[in-house]
Parts: sequence; C-alpha cells; structure tokens
Amino acid sequence: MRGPLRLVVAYALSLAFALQAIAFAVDERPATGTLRLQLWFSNDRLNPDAMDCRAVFPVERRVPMTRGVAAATLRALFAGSTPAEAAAGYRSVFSPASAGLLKGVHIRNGTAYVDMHDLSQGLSGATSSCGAAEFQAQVLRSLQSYPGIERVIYAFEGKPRSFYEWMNESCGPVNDNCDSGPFGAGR
Amino acid sequence: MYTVKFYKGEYLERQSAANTDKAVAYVEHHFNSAGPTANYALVVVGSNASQTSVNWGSWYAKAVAEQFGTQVYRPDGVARGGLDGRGDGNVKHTTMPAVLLEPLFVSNPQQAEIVRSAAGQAALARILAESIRRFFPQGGLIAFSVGHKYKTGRPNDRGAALAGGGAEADYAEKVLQQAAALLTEAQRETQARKLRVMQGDRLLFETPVDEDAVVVWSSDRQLLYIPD
Repeated sequence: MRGPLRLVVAYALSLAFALQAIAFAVDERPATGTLRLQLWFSNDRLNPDAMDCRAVFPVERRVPMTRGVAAATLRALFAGSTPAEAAAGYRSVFSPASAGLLKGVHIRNGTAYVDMHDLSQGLSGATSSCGAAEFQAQVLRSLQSYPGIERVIYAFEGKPRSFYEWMNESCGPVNDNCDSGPFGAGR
Repeated sequence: MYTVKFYKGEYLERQSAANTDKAVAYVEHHFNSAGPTANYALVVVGSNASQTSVNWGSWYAKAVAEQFGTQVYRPDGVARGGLDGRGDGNVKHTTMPAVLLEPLFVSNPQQAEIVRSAAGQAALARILAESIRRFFPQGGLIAFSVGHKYKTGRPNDRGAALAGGGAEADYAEKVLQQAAALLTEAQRETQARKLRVMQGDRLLFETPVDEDAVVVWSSDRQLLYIPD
C-alpha cells in the first residue's frame, strides 16, 4: 500500500474507532469479548520528585467488553492501581475507596462531562497543588486514549461548581463557568 | 508592630475581609501531597501577583528547602497563578501581597514526620515569621488563613491525610498559631524596657525593668540600682 493511501486508511480506521468509542459511551447494549483499556497513572519511579505533577504513564487493563468504553475506563481508573502496578511505582489519588466515584460520563463536541458522586473525603490529597494536577492529568490522558476527546469538565452530583470549589479552581471560561446544563437530567 | 488575625469562611470571603481590614500581608497555609518521594517547597502566588509576593514566596520556599534539605519547585519555588490555575483564586483577590504556602509534602513519610513534630512546626513558624519581618518590616495587620479548614461550604474538609496519620489543615493551623505568637510576642519583648550591660558590641547581661523604674548609678558603691 502506497504512503498516501496508507495514511487515508489509517485516518479512516482511527475515525471509525473514534465514532465507535463515542457510540460506546452512550450505547448500553450488552457486548461480548474483552476490551483493552489504557489507564494513565503517576509513577514514583519514573517521576520521583514529582516536580512535574502532570506527568502520567500508561498501564493496560483488560475488562469485559462493554459499549460504555469511557465509563469502563473511568471505573477502572477510579479504583486505583493494582498491587502489581503499585509495586512498579504506579500511583494515584484513586483507590478502592473511590471505586464507586463515577456517576456518569457523556461526550459531546470533544468534551467529556464526568459526573461523580461527592466522595471528596475519600480522595485525600486530590486538592493539593500537585495532587490536583495528578487527578486531572490521569483522567484526561486516560480518556484521551480514545480519539476526539479534547478536554474534561467535572461535576459532583451534577454540579460543576461543587467540584471546582473543592478543587480550589475558579469558575471561568476554562470550565464553561461551571455551567451545570450539560449535566442536567434533560440533556 | 504586628497584629495577626485569622480569617475564616470561603476563600473569597477571607480575602475580602482582609482587604476591608487593610491587612498588609496575607498568608494561606497548606501542605502539598503527591507521592512518597515528592520533595520540594512550593509557594503559589496569584496570577496578578506583585513582585513583592513573588520575592516573598521565593525567599520563603528557599528558606524552607535549606532548613529541611529539600528542593524548591523549579526554578524559584514560586508557581505564579498556581498549577494550571489551582490556588490562584485563594490569593488573587487580595489587595495586599499574598502567598499560599505548601512547604512540605505530607504524602512523603519523612516530611510528614517533620510536620507532626514540635520541632518541625517550630521551624516552619520561625521561617514564616522571619519572612514577614523581612518583607514587611513596617509592621501592620497580618492576615492568616488555614487552608481547607473553616470553609462554610465544606466544614469537614481537612485537606490531605498525612502519611502515618493526621490531617493537613490541623498542622497548618498549628504552624500559623506559632508564627502569630512569634510575631506578636517578639514585639512585646522588644517593647519591654530592658537594662543591658554591654562590652563593646557584646551583650554581657540583660534584664527587663519596669517602664517607670529609675535606674541610678552609685559611683561610691560601684553599683547600678533601682531605688525602692
């Protein structure tokens, strides 16, 4: 296959994967087989002094096939690293205590809207300067394993303001001024 | 002469109240948290910070790093506007120089031990008080804010858990209380009248005396005394 044609085919395949991933995020029909996920965690061996708090590194997981790929990814991420991964230095503010954090996720126009239960008490360190950067880098990079996701907007119980106030972040253009509309029941 | 006031409520309310009170400096104390090997001092200043805030934060971060043998957040210990904006809103609404301190990582077991220890808290308080005296020598009202604690929206928030036990906000409060005592007690000491015996520049003897005491030198008795 010649170069330009190969590029076109690769582009078409990645586009198909992106559309499939987006479709998976909203299609709850049962699926069969296994799904390979890429999760991104901090790593104390690869970034020992944590000078760059946004530095995250991938691990792979296999989970039962689902059409809700984004939700499956976040559920796995929010349960934290496995003992084997932890032994290799992979680390997160997420842990089995936060496994039930995800309330819902949907994707629209390149934005992933991540709604969480308010389990802030179980996320020790996530609002420190470095811990917050790690939290958001891990979520963003894990979701960006699938094409088409450019940014993430978060909410606690459907309220972005509640999340961003907890995170010590102002509401502004970066987080759509904490607009709760996309998280509403009527979306 | 310094006075110190602790501000409570949401972060914006604290800053607004400090502005109303015409504080000369604003300090919000936190600790950082990441992995067990994280090892640097960080000070957040607002995205609109003055050079005084930057210099003050940098001096503080370097002093903490020197005290405990750690590093400073590269290059100068200061994150202007916070990391990706986090912490910016905690300090950018003040009309006076303001810093958000994250001197140590409570996720690092060795540093958490320092934070729990009386000696560690005393050292952090001393450095903070010294930084205030250095950058605000004219005195005035110093505004203190304990990070996480006393927020009305999340009254149970205590910030990060220390490796080995304890909560970030409780130790930040201890350090601020000690720094406040250093700032206000030191001035009481300096205000008190003292009798000093010097040899050249060397202090041989020092004792406080009453403000209205009359000190008399008797050449006959070769004695400095205070009559009854």
